[in-house]
Amino acid sequence: MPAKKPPQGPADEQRLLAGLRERQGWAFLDLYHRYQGIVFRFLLHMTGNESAAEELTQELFVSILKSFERESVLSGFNAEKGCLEGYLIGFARNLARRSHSKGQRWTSLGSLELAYEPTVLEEISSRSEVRRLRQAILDLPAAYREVVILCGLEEKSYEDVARMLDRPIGTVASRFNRGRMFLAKRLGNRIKGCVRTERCAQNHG
Amino acid sequence: MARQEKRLLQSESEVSRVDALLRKLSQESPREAPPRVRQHMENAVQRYRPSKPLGGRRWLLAAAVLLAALALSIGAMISKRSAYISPTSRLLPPVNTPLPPVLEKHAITTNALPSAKLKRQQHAKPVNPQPVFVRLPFSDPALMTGTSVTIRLALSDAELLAMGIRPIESDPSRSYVADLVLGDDGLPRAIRIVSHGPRIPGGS
Repeated sequence: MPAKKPPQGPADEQRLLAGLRERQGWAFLDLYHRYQGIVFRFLLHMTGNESAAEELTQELFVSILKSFERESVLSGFNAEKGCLEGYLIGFARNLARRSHSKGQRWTSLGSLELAYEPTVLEEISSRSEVRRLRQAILDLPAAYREVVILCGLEEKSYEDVARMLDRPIGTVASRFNRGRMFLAKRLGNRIKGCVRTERCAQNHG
Repeated sequence: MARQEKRLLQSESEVSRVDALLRKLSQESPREAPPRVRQHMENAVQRYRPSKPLGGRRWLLAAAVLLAALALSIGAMISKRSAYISPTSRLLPPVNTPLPPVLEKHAITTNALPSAKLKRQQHAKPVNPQPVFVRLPFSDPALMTGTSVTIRLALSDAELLAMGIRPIESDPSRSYVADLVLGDDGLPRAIRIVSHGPRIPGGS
């Protein structure tokens, strides 16, 4: 079943919010169907681990559902400050940080795959580059990683990301550019290092 | 200068390559969370779906609790008034006469220890007056301050006499069930005969 698209206009979001505040089951499921994709992908790239992302996605939505039993639903959400998507991304960001600071270190399948020494032939394959990029994203500091994920992978505008993360647009733009530079450097160094290793191996062989 | 330009161009091409790779990674990334998460959410909605917001019911709940507490306290007050007579409120004035006080005849019932059923019947019929407490002759009225404890015990006729109480119809073989009021110091202050106990065979 294809995922429903996020609400196009504020009226749609208002309707969803009203349903959530009335603690309607359909509103919760609608919220989940609309935003589970972006939340899951964000957490996947933040943690680099699919099972951790799955667990945190579940935790996020379950905690929203649990707030149905309290007096106020989505108490931290302010419609004047941002949209629901931004609220959920902020929520996911906090969950990822908290989970990481608790000492739950994630072992990425991608990093396990990268444990072997890549050859030159693999370097030229774009698939391998994507895998290395994934690893390089995980090596970024969290503040840069979240901006790279949202701007680079989710293709959100600087304004949207600034609103989501509650940061100035300039900060978001500079973090994105620095993040890209860092990634380029990491990928370039790896390629150079691998070429050098390959040449050494050929000379000694 | 040419070297700088070359370096700039190189870094630009590297960054544009990163952009292309980011796009590719974005396309390769899963579009949705695994179906089991969705299944879990649907199950959770079935489980957690509250029919009515708790916030709206909170005042109702608080009011109900308040009413229940009020009813309980009123009920307790009423039952206290009908079943238990405060020893200090019903005490007779200090007795300074040498003769021990005489218990009123109506205060003595002919039954043994009153059962719960009998008590309820007594509560329902206020026609029969409750037996009153009689201050013991040797108790000091000046010490009747503070808290007191009422205990129920069975006494023989002789023990009653030893405490300074003389029943109207003295029968040495009769025993009595009495409530005794003890002061803070543990000394008896007042007594109330609740009922006759069984006859003591060959009692003194």
